[in-house]
Amino acid sequence: MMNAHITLLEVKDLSHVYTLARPSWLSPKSTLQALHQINFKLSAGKSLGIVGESGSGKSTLARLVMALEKPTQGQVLFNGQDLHALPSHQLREIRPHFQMVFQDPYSALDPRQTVLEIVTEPLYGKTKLEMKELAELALSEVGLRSSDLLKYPHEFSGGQRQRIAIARALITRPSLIVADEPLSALDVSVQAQVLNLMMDLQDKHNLSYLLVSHDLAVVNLMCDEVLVLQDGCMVEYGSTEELFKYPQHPCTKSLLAAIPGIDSQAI
Amino acid sequence: MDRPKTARKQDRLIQTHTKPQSTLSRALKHTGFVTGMAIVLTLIFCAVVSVFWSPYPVADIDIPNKLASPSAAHWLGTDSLGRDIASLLWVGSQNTLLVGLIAVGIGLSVGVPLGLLASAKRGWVEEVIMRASDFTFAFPALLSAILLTAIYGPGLVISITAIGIFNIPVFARVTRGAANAIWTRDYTLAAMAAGKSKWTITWRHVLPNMASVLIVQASVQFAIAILAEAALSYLGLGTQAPQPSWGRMLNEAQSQMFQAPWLAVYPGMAIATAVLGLNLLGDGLRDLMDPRLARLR
Amino acid sequence: MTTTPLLSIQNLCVSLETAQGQVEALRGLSFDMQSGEKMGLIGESGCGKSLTALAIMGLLPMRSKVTGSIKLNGTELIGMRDENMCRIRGARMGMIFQEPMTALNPLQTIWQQIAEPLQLHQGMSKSATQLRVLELLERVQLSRAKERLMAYPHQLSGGQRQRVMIAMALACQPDILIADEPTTALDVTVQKEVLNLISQLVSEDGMGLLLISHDLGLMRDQVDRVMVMYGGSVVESAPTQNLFQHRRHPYTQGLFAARPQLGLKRGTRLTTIPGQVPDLLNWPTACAFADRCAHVEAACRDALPPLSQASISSDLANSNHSDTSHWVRCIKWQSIESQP
Repeated sequence: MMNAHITLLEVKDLSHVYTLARPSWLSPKSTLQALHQINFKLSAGKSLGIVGESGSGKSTLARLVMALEKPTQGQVLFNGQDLHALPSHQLREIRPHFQMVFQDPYSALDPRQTVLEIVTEPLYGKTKLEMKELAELALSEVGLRSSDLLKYPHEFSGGQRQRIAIARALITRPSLIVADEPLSALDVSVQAQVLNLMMDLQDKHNLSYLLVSHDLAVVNLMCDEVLVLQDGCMVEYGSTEELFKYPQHPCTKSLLAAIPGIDSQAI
Repeated sequence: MDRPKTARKQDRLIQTHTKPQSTLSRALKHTGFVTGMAIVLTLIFCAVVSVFWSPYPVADIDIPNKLASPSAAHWLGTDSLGRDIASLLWVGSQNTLLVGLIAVGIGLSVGVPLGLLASAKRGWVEEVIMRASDFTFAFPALLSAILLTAIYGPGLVISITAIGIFNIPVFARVTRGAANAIWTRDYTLAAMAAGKSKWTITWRHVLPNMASVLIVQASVQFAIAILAEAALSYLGLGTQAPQPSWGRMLNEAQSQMFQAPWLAVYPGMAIATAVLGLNLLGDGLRDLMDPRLARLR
Repeated sequence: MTTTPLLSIQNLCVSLETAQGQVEALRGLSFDMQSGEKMGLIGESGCGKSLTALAIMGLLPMRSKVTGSIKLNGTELIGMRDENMCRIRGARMGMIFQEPMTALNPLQTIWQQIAEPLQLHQGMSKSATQLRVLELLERVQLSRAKERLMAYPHQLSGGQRQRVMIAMALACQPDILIADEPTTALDVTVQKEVLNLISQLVSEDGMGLLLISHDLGLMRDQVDRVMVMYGGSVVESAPTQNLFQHRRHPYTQGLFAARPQLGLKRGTRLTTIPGQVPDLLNWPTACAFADRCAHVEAACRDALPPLSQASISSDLANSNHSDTSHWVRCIKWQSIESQP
């Protein structure tokens, strides 16, 4: 099966600068360095957590890895191919191998589409029947029923919507799922259910997760390695266990210390 | 920068815990909508039927019977040329409807794609389109229509074109604003991650989700178009004789103000009712289509 | 000696009007809060915790029915005329909301917004207000307060906006501060600062604090007493230490077990509560947790269980007379092993 040492995703010297809106026509353009020289590798079947405060560039990184935006510098190599150097039709062909789950389950699903339409969106070149079968399979994997296919998003709760979003991400059998704060909009008990689901799916399909999160406890459960970002720069990168036990950088230390109720938790 | 906002808790509470009534039953309970719909349907009925039949042929001049007050033969009386007012109003509704439809049609078919283009492309494309809209807006619509008729001569076609042109920036702006809001939703990002092009996303995700905004705006613009046409016709620049027109009837009534005041009242009321009906319909549609309001009623 | 509690809620019931008819959102909520006491209300979506806050402030949606009693320093708030209620809101009760961006008026400067309660309730003059606003901003530790007086909300970060909200809530030195998920929209590091600030200010002024949240860890650090809500009523209520040491209600146990913690090994599956929160329209009339409970029996579905006292504290030296008993709303609490 999959050799765990295959590098699935490699990010090299990734930097991204945003040009901000000019306050007036005559003033110079101002820029915001969202990411600076990010480097990491993700092996098949492993998970990497990206943590940091708001504005640290976590979401930007997620979008660059997903090739939703073009970086100003650097490369994103998926299975050896530079995503941003590919012509668009080639990029479209490999998109099924990496999918994304978003933070807000209320904004991630088109309210005017049925679950069937939503979940089968990433599929290409399949007949209607094939699409329906794949959709039913995907829904059953996330714990929903095939009768849910014809319903609309507003008929579901937040946790269920997130499951639909996960089904959509799974339907093309990707090897990488980029999850941008997938649990933060959910209730505690629902979070636990979705977390378990994500871990089960990882074991079943040998998935890799790139998990962006502000919740270090979740990262601890799901990720083998952690990357800490501060103001767009990598400040610490290593195995989860090591990093959380012996944090080196002040940013990591303050993130760990700020976890509510931290004094009582056994590390 | 803070963590991205999730749906407001109140909305989520309302969304997940309360079920909406069916749109039709809500529609029937909304007085504004029902009234507006009734008026608009009546207008459409008049316009359509008048193509085949009217109480009296509008070309019939009957000088001996001119300026007659309302009677059994002429329900609303006759004008200064002996023509039956009721028939004039009846047939005049054709113009009213035609102008509204075509003017709004021009606005929608040109303005909406421009707005969608501006929103999808952003950058300098958006700038150019928006500044062009602003430029068009800067001209007072009615004066520009008068200018056009001065150059090309008065007539129905010119007045429709002029009004239609001024609908374009309205729809372009509204479309762009609504489309921009939709592009910030995650489902457009998800569609991009699924490999869909911006055009596909615009067609499948953006347009359906802003349909309600466009429908409401269209009904508002329809009302404005009617008023604009009436104003142009009143000035003699719109529909030319012998085609009946509510606006021109007002003009003709002006000189008869003291002998036959009802000549002004009827077309005036017709215009006012049509505009009122469209406004009520637009408000009603907006109320019905806003999902948040839907659940609170 | 019994003193009048700062806030006394007796059998508070709130029903909301929906398209399908009346729906009971809060079912018989009762608790007392003493002056200077910090209480936490914890629960998930739909349990009614935000509604409780809105009911106390008299800000429920128009089509809702409220029964029961809410007394602030002995004055009954339910049924009070709106004009009288306006005099109490802001002056005697302060509230902090979850989303600082939507809670602040984007078109008014910071100064104008904080000055509003001052001018409204205390009739201060413009110059006196400016001084007081500056004092308040410095008290909430807003950096560069003087420059920020004329700033607009969008020019501040989330943490800074939340500090402005706290300043607004405290402007008239209210007796009670209600904080509805005040830090959920903020970063972890900023959360801690803001909560510590709230704690400090509340202690300094001897105010009562009602902190509403879904975060258990937060409760541990910030409040003296925690009430767990589910299905529109309190299912467990105890002093913080007690609750974190012994949980008796199956829902509370489930909630604690479902949290990911730093100490767990990679890949550990969390114990989840099966099923999901029932729809507001379909809430069971008896124990709301019955359908998801591992210990359910026939009697649970007969009627809403009463609050039973699981333990009485013998802390007679408790100076602020706060309740230190452990209450559980479960008929089987004695047979269920309390989880540490």
